[in-house]
Amino acid sequence: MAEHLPMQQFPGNARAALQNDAQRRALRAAADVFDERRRTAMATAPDWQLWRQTAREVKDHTLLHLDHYLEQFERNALQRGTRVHWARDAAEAGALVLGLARQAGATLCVKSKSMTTEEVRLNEVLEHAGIEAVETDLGEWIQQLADEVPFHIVVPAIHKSRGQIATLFAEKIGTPRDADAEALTAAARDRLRAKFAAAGIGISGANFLIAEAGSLLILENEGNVRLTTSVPRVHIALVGIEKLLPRVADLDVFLRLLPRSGTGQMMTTYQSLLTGPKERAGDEGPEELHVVLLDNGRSRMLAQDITRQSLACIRCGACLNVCPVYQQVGGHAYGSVYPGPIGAVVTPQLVPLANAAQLPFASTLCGACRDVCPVAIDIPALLLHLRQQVREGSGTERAAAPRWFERFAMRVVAFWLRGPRRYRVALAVARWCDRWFGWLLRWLPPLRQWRKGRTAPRLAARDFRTLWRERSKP
Amino acid sequence: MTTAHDSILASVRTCLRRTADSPVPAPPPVPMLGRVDLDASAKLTQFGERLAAVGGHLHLGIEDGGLAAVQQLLARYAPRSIARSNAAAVTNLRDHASLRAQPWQPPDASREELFTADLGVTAAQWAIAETGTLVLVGDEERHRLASLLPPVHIALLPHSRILGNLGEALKTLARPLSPAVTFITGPSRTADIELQLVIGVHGPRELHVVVV
Repeated sequence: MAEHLPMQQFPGNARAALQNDAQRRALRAAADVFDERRRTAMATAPDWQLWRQTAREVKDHTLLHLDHYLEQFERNALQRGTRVHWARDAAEAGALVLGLARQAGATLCVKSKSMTTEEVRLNEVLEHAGIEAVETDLGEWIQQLADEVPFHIVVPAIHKSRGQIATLFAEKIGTPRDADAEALTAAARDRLRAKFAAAGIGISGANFLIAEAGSLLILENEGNVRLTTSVPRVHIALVGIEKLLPRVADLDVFLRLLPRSGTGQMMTTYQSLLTGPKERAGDEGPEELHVVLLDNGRSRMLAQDITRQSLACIRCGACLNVCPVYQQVGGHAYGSVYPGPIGAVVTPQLVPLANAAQLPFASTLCGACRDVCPVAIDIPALLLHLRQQVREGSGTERAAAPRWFERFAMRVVAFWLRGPRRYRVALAVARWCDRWFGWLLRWLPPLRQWRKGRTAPRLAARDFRTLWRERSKP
Repeated sequence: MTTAHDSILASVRTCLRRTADSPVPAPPPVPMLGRVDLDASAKLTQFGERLAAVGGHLHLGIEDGGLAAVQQLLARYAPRSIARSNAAAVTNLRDHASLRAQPWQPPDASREELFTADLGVTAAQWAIAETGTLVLVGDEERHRLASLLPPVHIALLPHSRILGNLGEALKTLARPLSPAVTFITGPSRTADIELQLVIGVHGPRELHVVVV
C-alpha cells in the first residue's frame, strides 16, 4: 500500500527531493508548460478579476450559511432518489463506503480521481476487506501501478518521465519498453475497459454539489468519470461538505475559472451534471446513487474568517504550479494528501497541527499562489496565521521551537528598526562586526544553522543610502 | 447517541454562530458572463472554430438532416457495430433506405453490446458557441454510453439549438434537471504522461458534429 513520506520531516524530505535530478528536470519542464498554458488561457479571460471576485463572493456566502445549503442539498437529493450519508471523519467515511460496497456485493470497484478518497485512505479500507479498488484516471493508475501516492492534485504522475512510465508498464502489464505516450495510453484504455465492464460499484468525488437541485457536477478530460458514474450498478460519491453551491447558475463562473486555472483549457472535455439514479427500468445510469458528505475537520475551519477561506478552494492546482518551493521539492516531500501551498494551509487544519507543524514554514511567502488563485484565497496570510499557531500553540500542540530566543531576537530587531537614526547606527555596527568578526559569526549559532541551507554574503562596503546620496549629488 | 448528520450540522452551526432558524439572505446575483451579442450565423461560425480548436470536426447537413455527411462518415469508418441513442433525428437517419443496411444496434442495446460498438450516433440538445460544447440531456435521449464507449462519436446538432454562452445553457436546461446532463467539448484527451497531449483515452478519439 502506497505510503506518504513522514509529514513531520519536511526539511529532510525536501533535501532528499533536491538530490533527485530526474524529478527536478520533470518539474522544471512542467513549470514551463503550465506557465505557458495559463498565459494562453488568461488571454481568453479578460474579465478574470471580475470572475474570481464573483466566485469568491458565492463561496463566502455559501460557507457562511453552509448548514442551510447542506440541508437543502440533502432534501433535494433525497427527493430525486439519491441517498445521502454523513461522515464525521475519515474512519466513518471508510466504514460507510465499505458497508455500501458489501451491500452491493461488489468485489471490484472502479474509481475516478478523487483527492477526498485519498484523504480518507479509501483504497486501503477496501483492499483490507478484499475489494479490489482500481484507479481509472491515467495518471492516478500510473501511481497505483508504481505503488505511490499522487504527486500533484491535477496531474498525479507529473514527476515521471515517459521512459519511467514505459518501464513501469513493461514490468506490470508487459507493454514494449520503448512505447510512446500514445501506445501507453492505449494500453491503459484496454486494461481499464475490462475493469469498467466488470465493476460492481463506481466511486468518484465531485467538484461541486448544487443545493437547489440536489445535483453533483464532475469535470474531467479522459472520460473515466463518465464511465465510473454510468456503467456500474452503484455509484458512490465521496464529497467534502465545502463543495456546495447554491444554484445551477453558479456553475457558470466556476466552470470558467477551474479549467483555465487547472489545465489552461477554456473548458474540460466533459462535465457530468448528475441528479439521482436512473428513474425507470431501461434507462441508463446507476440503480443506486449515494453521496457521502465528509466533514473530517472542515466544519472547524468555518469558525474564523481567516481559516474559512481555506474551504473556498476548488482544487485547481494553480498554486502548486507557480510555487517556487513546490517547483523544487515536488509533491511527495510535503508528506500530505494535499501538497503545495494549498496543502500547506489545508493539511495543518485537517490533521492535528503538531503533526503538520513544518508545512506552514515550507514557503517563501512570495505570494505567487495568492495572485493565481481563482477564488482569491490569501494563502500567505493563512501561512502566517498557522505559523503563529504553531509557535504559540497550546497544550500538546506546542512546538518545540526556542520561543524565548525568537522573541528576544524579534525585540532586538524591533528596537533598531524604530527610527532612521537607530537603523543607521545598527547598520554601521553590523558592518563593523561583519568586517572584523564575520568569520566567527558565521561559524557560531544561529548563523551556523542558517547557513546549512543558504549562503550568507558579506554586507556591502557601502550601503544603498550612501550610494544614493552620492549619485543624487549634482 | 447523536447521528453524524446531527453532529456535523451542530458543529457547522456552532462554528458559524448560527441556529437552525437563523435567516439566510439571498445569494449574490448571478452576472451574465461572456458574449451575448452574436446572431445565429455568428454563433455557428464560433461554435465551428472552437470545436476545431479542441480537435472536433464540423459538418453541415441542414438541408438533408445530415444524411450526406453521415453516409460519408460511415463509408469512411466502415463500422462493424453502431451504437445509437433513441433521439428522433437518429432514428430518422437509421430508417433511411440508404442507411438501413448498416450494422445498427437497437437504441436500448445492453451494456455488453454497447461495449462492442465501434461508432456511436447521438443527437445533441444544445450547443455552446463560446466553447464549442455539446449538451446532451438524458431525459431527451439515451446518450450516456453511445456517446462515450465507441472510439468515434457522431452527434446531430439542430442549428437552432446553438446558444451563445454557458450561462444561457445553464438557464435553458429544463427543470427539474434530468438525471444525467453531459457537456462534451471535443474528443476524450489526457496529458498525464509528460503533459503531452494524447487524444482518445477512455472516451472517443474522434468527434464529428453534424449540424442539421
